[in-house]
Amino acid sequence: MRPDGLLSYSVAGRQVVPHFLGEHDHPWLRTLLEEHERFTGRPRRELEARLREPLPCEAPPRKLALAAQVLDRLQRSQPSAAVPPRQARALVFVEAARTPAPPGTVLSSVATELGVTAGELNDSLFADLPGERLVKPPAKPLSAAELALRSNLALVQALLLRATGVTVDVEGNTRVLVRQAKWRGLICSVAERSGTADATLEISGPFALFRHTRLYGRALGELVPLLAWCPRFRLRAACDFDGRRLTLQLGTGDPIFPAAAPRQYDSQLEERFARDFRRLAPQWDVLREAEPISADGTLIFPDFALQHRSDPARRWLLEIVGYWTPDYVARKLERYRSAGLPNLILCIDEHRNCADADLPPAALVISFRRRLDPAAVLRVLG
Amino acid sequence: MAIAGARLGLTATPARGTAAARLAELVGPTLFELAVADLAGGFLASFDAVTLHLDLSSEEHSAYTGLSSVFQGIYAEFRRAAPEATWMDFTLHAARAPGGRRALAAWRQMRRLLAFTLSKRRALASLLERHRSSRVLIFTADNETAYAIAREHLVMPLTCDIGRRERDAALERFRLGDLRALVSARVLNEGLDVPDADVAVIVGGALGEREHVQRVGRLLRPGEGKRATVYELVTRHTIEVGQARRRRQGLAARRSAQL
Repeated sequence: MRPDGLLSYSVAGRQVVPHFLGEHDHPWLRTLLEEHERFTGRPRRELEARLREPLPCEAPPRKLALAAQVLDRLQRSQPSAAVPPRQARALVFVEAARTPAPPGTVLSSVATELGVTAGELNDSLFADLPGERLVKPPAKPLSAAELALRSNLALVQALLLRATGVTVDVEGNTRVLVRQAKWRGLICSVAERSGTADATLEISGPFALFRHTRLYGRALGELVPLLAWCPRFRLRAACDFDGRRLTLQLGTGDPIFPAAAPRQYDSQLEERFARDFRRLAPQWDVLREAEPISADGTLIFPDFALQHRSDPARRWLLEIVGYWTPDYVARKLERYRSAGLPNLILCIDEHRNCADADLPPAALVISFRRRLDPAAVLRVLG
Repeated sequence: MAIAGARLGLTATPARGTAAARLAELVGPTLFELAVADLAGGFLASFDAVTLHLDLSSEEHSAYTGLSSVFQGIYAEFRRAAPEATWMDFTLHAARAPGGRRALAAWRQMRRLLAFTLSKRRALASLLERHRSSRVLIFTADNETAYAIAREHLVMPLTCDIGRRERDAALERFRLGDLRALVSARVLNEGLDVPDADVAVIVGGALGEREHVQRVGRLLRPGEGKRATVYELVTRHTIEVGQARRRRQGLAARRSAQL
């Protein structure tokens, strides 16, 4: 989580207003990109030290810090070292203590033993430390305009970490957004708006939870760039800033970096379950992404329909729940009951409990850890 | 009103100034005080404190003078306007104006310049050579200097970037004698037990008296015939002179038994 002091926003009444980067920021963003390029191949700590000093053109400090962090994330990669750094350190420093030889000789002798050059060994020594990693160019060339949009996205995502609840009104492409929310395991309910294909998503914010708040907040933030795939949207987040309840609003046309096209396949968990279940129970058809079901003003999006081949009346719906609280599960079960959906199985990941209490007892709830056991589902089907 | 009938406060690094007044309000006045120097030779190992006064190179000197004038100009003006203000007040004030930010940048550059000057490099090399058979702890002002020393002298660094398990393994090797020196900015300051260390080199520090007492304390676990040596590298005619004077106050003998 970014310290609030580095986030650029103001408060107007009860609204939190993000200070988005725009065209007026492009000159210093270009300078930042040039500085980044100039330090390519050098340790990151050198670039960080440079950015602690003023740039040649005026740059708002908070926005600069945010953009620099965004740029850093775009080029972050796994450290590469000829020798695992920990091993290199253990061997080199012990050898240096053992012999009075100068450092160059020590490095050469250890390098020879390891079958690498002294330079490679020297580069490996601290290759795993954050400041010692080398600055790399972004995977794709980046313009000032794109960096501004990406920084705006990071700003909104950081503000959403303080959300207790988020409401998103969506017009068009609703299903894609709901699927994405589900794949990320967000605690979410979907209400249909009468007479249209539009919907309102009510999503818990990380600030309303006790556990997994950081992971959950990140998952929630990942939803923001996907909003660009909805022709129209409006997001309202109730946020907590040191006890002050403020609202963050976003809407169609806000300068946020859009996500790549949403993936059209299910999570690995679902994919693996479908495959394993088909193998275990060939007499059952596994239908993925059954149609949403309207129930008492809300929409239910089952992940699978399981239907017996010789007896299609034996049909069950299965929904995999991501992050959860006992309240959330109880509300869901109640909604299904009132909608007259007795044949619905909820599968719940034990590790993603965001509260202090346990799961409410219910016959049609299967809890799992990481992998959903198809045999457990088959037992419920009878 | 506290539940306890009496309260006892014990500290190795007593607070001074306003913090001391607050402490006195909460716990009462100081009844008994012993400084590190009072305990040396008995409960603590005896030690020699050696300050090496070093010069800047001519290039370093001209860079330092330039940075110092940028910083001092703005800082002095602030002090005139707010004589009671703290350093924290100054940084908050300075961060809001371009001139103030330039002053803070100059301050950071001064600190970086002083962290590991040419003279400090030479002095450290010579001390490591002189104490080849000793267990040496090197203390720096920042991680960057710790890594620079680690590369230059092939000394194991102990920093927050190094994982806990690796740090523990390094301390164990140090105890066994497989490593003869460790370099650190903060990690070695407090809490780690390194009884075999008998030489410390303070290349730089950032946190003042309390940090200094804790650092020296790493060396003072008593042993038979043990006499530790603490070297302090101080650059003449720079802010380091005042910093060194202030941080040494914590070690000075000041027996004030009033029981």
